[in-house]
Amino acid sequence: MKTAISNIYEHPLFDELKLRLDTPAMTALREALLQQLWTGATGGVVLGHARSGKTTAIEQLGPELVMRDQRPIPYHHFTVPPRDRQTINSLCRSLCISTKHRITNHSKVEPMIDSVLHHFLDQCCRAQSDRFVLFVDEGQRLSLDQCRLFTEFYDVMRNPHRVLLTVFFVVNIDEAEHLLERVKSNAYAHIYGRFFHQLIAFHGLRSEADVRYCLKQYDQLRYPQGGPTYTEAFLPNAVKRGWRLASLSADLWRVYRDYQRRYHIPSWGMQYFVAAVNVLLTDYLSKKGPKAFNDKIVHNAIQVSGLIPSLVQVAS
Amino acid sequence: MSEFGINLGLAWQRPFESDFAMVRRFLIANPAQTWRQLRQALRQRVDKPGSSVDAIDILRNQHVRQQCGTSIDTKVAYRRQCPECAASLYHSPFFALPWLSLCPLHWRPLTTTCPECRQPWPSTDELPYRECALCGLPSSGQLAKRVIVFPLPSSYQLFQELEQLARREQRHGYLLGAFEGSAAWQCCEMMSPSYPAYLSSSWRPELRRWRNHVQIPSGKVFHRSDRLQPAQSLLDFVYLAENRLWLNGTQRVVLNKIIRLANVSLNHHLHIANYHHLDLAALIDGPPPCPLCMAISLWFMNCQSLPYHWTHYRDVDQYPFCLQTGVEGFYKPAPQTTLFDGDDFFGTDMKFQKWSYRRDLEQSFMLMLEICTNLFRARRELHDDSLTKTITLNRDLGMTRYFDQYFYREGDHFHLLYRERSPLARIPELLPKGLRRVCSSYREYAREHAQQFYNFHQPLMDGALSATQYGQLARSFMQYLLGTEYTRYVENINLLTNAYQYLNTTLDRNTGGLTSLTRW
Repeated sequence: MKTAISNIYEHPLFDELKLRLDTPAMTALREALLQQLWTGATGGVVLGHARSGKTTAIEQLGPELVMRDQRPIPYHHFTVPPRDRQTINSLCRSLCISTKHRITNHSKVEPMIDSVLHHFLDQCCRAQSDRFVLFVDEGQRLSLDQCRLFTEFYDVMRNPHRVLLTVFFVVNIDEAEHLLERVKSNAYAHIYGRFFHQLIAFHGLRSEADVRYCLKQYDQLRYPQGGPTYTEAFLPNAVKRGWRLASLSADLWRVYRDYQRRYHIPSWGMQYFVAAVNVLLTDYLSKKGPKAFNDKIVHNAIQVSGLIPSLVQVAS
Repeated sequence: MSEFGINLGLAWQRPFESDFAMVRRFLIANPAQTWRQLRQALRQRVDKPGSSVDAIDILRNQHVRQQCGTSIDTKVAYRRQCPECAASLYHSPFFALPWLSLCPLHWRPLTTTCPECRQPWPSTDELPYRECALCGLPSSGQLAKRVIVFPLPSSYQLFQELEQLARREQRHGYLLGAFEGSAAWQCCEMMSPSYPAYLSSSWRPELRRWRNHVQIPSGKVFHRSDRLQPAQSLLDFVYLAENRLWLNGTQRVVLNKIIRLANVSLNHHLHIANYHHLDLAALIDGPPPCPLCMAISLWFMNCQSLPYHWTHYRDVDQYPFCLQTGVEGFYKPAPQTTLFDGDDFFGTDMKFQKWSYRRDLEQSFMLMLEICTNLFRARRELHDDSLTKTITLNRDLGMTRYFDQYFYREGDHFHLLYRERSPLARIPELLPKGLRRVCSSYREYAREHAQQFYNFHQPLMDGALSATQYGQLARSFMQYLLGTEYTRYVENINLLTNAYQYLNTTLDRNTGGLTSLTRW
């Protein structure tokens, strides 16, 4: 029995935050993270281009982190906010805000550090885990001196609590070049050795197989639970006849490749891919049917997704 | 105010920890907030009535708090701590047990002061203001510098054993009732000094190992037990309490024991007199009364009034200095005790009760002596303008060290533990020096200045009193009670008159009977 959708606009395809697609890069990242965690690594850097889906991947992978014995590993996802002053104090304040700890204008650094530390340790105790993972998103916004704070966290959690802290910096490769170069100097050897030694690359979609892998999920994922697949929700008759969205992967990839060559795009960022496919499915195909599919529709969808920079320029 | 994150300091959580430890690590885990803010946050989060400690307990995600025995006062348990445990933010309510001298985790002596700042261990209210890194609220940085080795789970085995004992203690509800008096026997709870002696009878092998490790002192403890006899109510055993001849006989035996001790050991000649005129002003103005003579007088009047009626029993103890210092009556030796647990009543056999009453009389004398000695010593501190100053006169049983009797029930047996074979042996310890001079000067002063009130005065002979002599003494005491000066204290003069007549006739008829009772 199929469950009906009361309001079609509640569908995950209309809500980017609800839509969770697994990608080959995400699978690779999951494996890389688990490999690091299971070997007792103290940290690493997840590198990727802007809008490639790093944050979404981390949000999705965080609850999936487990030890070898399948015990979940507690984690905290912290996004570094842009600040005009890159100080330990400002970082502590941001951390306190992210852990929902109350701070005042006069809050001092040490109590703030302790509050955050005990927050992490409490989570470890609740999960009965001796590991803790801290994802520092937008790590390129940090100065290297601010990174020292994470070494302090590491030290205090290790002694006397015997909890191993693993810090993964999630950075935008285009902006982090300077940071990654400087950290290699001897002055920051203790930071480099702990957190910047292992680099994990994260990409968007880079082949037709990647595109097919993602489109297949549109044909498999269901909303609501036990309801129609994502594709079926918008093209019920076509799906009944045996049509699948994954069959468009070659055409989609071919059209995208034109743009990739023209604009030197390293990979198809998940945000743009999802936007394009969602527009294609919900706006074009659902109204005109699969038979109306052609390259022009794909071009339109890709352009609507925002992959291509706007050609309109402000007149000087 | 929006909700903000609060930590529970779970990383420092250990088994069998006290409420104090829980609050301490909670404060350490939330250094940026004040205790007031935290309490407010706890109230917001936990929508249940209860203390902040209960709220923390609920928030720590259904971790069941290890409850300790009811006899352990968890509020003051923080006063004894192990420095090593304090460094790792741990404290157990079992540290409050007076007979536990070493920490079972570190085998270090439990102390009442912090070895670093030399101050008494802080309470939860004092914690935020204590700057010492050992006993206050250390930061994570300070804690990281210490070499803290968390004990293995097996180290908490003794606590586990003790907790089981505490749970057993919680289950029973034994109370000791007394007929026309007080029961000086206290239930042998975990906080009792005699608890190790009680344990020695039921030490399991695994617990016996701990006894040596943590140096639990066994001490010399006497033990007496008797089979319990079920009864319908407390009144099923009143036959002994109503036997006035027997009561008088037992009192005489104890009095003779005190006389002998005073004559032989202290070379002191006792006098029984009335002190119903003595108030704090008289204590300051005149020479102090001899504590030994005063104690024996108060004791004699107290127990001599017992056989007649409870109203006299209460009124006889109405001394002006008692009223001024807030002492409401003295301990009444109970000739009859009954154990009850809910609606179940039990009694012991006659022989056991006679023995226990005689011991009770001795205990009550020791209490009197302690009160009189305290009054004697406190007199030096009294001034005209501070007459109302409170003097510690051991108002209740728990405060005196001379009540060393603890009972427990095991099956159908009633057990009694006690440290001294005869409590009277400790009389010399209590008394101040130069007693003879004090005694004579007070008597002279009382004769001169309070002649009209000082109207009962009986010097006791050096030797033991015979039954007839004791009877004479009791008769003169009754005459004194019937005297005009004292009647203001007596509520029911008719009852007292009847009692006096009864005494006269009984003494005339049964002098021989009294003699025979001395064997008890």
